[in-house]
Amino acid sequence: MIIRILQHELRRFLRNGRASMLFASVLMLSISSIILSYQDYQLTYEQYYENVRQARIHWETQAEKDPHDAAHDGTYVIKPIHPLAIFDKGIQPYTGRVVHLGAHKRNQSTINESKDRSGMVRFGELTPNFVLVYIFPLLLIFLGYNVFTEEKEKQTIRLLLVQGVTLQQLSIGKWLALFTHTLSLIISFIIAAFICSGFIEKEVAVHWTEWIGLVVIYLLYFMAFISLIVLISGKVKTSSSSLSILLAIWILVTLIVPKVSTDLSSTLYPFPTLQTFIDNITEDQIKGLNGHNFWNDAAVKFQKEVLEEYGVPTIEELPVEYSGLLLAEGEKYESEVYTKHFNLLQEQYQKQRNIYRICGIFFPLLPTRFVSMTLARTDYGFLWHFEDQAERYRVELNTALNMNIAENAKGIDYYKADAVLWSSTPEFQYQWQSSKDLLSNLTVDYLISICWAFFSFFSMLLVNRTIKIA
Amino acid sequence: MRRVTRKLIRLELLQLVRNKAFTGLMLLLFALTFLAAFNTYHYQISKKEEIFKQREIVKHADKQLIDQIDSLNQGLASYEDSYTLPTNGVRLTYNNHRITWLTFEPLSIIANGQGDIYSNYKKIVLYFNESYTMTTKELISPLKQLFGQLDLSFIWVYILPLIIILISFNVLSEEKETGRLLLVASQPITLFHWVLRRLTIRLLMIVSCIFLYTTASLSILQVSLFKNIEVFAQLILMLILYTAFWFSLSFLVNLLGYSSGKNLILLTNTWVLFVFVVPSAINQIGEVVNPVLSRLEIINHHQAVYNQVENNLEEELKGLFEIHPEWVSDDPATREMSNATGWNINYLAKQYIAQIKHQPVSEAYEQQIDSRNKWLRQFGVFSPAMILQESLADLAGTSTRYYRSFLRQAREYAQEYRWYVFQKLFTNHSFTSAEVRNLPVFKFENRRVSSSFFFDSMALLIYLFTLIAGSLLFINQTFNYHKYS
Repeated sequence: MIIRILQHELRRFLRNGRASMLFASVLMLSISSIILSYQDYQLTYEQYYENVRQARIHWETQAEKDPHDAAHDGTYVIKPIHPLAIFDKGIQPYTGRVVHLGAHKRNQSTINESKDRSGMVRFGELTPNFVLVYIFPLLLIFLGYNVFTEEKEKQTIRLLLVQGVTLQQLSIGKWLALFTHTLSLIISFIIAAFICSGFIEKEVAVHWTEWIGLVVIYLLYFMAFISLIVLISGKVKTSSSSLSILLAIWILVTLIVPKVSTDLSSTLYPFPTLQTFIDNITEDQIKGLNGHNFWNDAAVKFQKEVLEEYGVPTIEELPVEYSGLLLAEGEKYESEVYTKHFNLLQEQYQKQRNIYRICGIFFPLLPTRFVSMTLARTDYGFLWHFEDQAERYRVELNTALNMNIAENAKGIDYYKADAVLWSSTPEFQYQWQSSKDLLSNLTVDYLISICWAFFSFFSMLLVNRTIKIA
Repeated sequence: MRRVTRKLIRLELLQLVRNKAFTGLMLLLFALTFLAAFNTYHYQISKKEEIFKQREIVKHADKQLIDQIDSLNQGLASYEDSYTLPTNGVRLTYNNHRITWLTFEPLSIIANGQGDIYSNYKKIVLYFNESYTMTTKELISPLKQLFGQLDLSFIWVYILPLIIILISFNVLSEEKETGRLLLVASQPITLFHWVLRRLTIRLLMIVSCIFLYTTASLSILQVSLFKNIEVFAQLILMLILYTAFWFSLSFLVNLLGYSSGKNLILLTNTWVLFVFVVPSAINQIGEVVNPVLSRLEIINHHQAVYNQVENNLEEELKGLFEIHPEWVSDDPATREMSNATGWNINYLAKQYIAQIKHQPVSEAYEQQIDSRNKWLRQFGVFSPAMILQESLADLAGTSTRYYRSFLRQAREYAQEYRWYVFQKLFTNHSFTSAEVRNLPVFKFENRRVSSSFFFDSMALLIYLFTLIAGSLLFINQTFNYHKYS
């Protein structure tokens, strides 16, 4: 019986010109979004590849100079792009793409795309994620708001019930019809994505579990929406009331909740102001080594240790240039301080993330959005991961430069290194997080989405058992 | 006739007051308006405090330097090395930066605009590379920027049209569906005028609510509306035009004579079109039509220029001193790399030369960005939502145009400041406390951002008149009572 209801609903949809038009429009929007995002990805990838190459050339062709001056002038590393970023740009436009690596200081990433763009970018961009998260639920609402109300308004529901159909069978049939539309859109997305992935140049391949992870999270999101649609349509009397309520839910879920949960999380767990952050770092730094300060307690202690290690009474008798050793050790200490404070910031972000998770229990968009961004490597976690690796590389690079001073500058008035040193320093290679690690971090979000899908489905069955027919 | 109209108006008002959905929506608008206003207020307070703190840091450092110079001159203090002397330019270079800041406009509370993306202050230092640092980067979660914050602009641009749609989509169709239309037809009033009056009453009620809520929320948050009556009037006018646009659209859709459901779908689709599809499409097309180099390439260009300067430093310095003969000094300390003064001059000079050589490329880039933003602004007329959002951000002084103007003015100030200091610093001049006291000070000139109010209000007026003309045309050609009965 459920299959027959499903067939009937699909036939009804095909006969309904308005619904077909809407579906075709969304499909066209989806395809356009994939093409535009694909072009955007290609451009970003090419820029990334070319500029990484250029950065290295500039590093290697810099003038002869004191290695520590070279450390101060620094170089920069560029954030790579993952192929799944085609699906979801996430926070990418709002975060920097480049980290400047200089001496003594850990910088945040800079070159923020959104700063170079007009305020109109806040309306959103036509990306696959935008279509899936915002537009497709709206399409489902338009397709399904009257699945029950129309039957009630036309009194055809009586005929169906007389034929022995139960309300639950009717609900499941109508649910499946809407789910079939969802599946058809998802399948067209997957086909388009596979075609695109065949053409794109990429740093890293997409693991099959990531594809499945993406499809599953969106399906769960749509399942929750479909259940709500059928539930509301069954519960209210008229089609216009059903549509009004569903639209209100859509506005709440997609527009208001993300903003309110953002305000809530940053109010409960605010980030310190930049000045407070800098003051805290400075407070810790002055307690320890600074490569340019020979006289504070930490420097005196370090000097004593070095002299003991080399078994000489004075700096002048050391076989190496002491200032290089101090700079190298100072850099390590300064980096530890930065790491400590950036970790505190990350902990604060994790607390904010938990608020989003709690809000996600009530509104299904949030877990979907976070899973999608995480798998596309366009989330905050990816940014931290990249910046942490950039910081480790900065220390490694500066240690190499400072140790070069220690090993070669002894007795030379104004020591300068040349291209041999610049070329011998290691290149930055970002190590991608494995899909296993990523997915295991997303367990809570998947659980919330699964609960949402099942809870809404069974609520629909329960509530629609008692539909009132006038 | 007048009596009938009065009666209908009274009945309509009564019906609206008794309508739970309408009352609920007005309460929702009230709650959202106050929540959004308070939210923006608190956010901006923290930004203002941060600016204050940054200015205090500069003031404190200057005061400290002035005190030290005075003590030195009075013979109360002595210093071991010449570069640690408070009168030496090295101290000013590394310990006393300048600060530029964007002041908040009186009605800044109405829109966060780009305020969460840009910082409202920028540090100016003598050693610099502006390719990396456009503005000071505040510690803010990018999720906040992605999802945006709840502000009045969001409520008016996104939510208000939906409230209008929900209270107006069925003014005619509902009567038809419930069979009450026959009663209306028995009244001595045309159906056209009846729908028009019903919608006008709703329009007036919404406008009154917006005015009331906005005035109340802004007044509670100590925004002086009387002092800024001109900007406030502009704000209210823009909101009236935007509200009238959505009511006119609803009026036209009602006249088409479809069912309530179909009306709602049509209006919601138009909302989606204007609020999501058109803006995102214009954004994407703008990128294609106005391609701009990546800022990564700008950084690379600067790096290449810097390498060139370093590799030919003597020649480059000669060139610099030909342009600025007043910076040349016979003092050997200014040439000696092994002392801090000479090293510092050499370091600042090469940074400065690289920046000057890089400037044409970076300026061209900034102009490309401005042209693209101008293009987007012009094509924003294809969506009333875009017009209103940009207009509100302009009135609030938080639009991209404001921030970019601020950055431009900050760059100009930096140039002025560097020229003032470099002349003294390059000649190893001993700074006096009066000179430190009289260092150039930044002041943001908002007059340099042209007002877009006329353009925006005209664009919304055109939309409004087009819809009204469309409705009248529709009435003359196809509207007949039988279609609705």
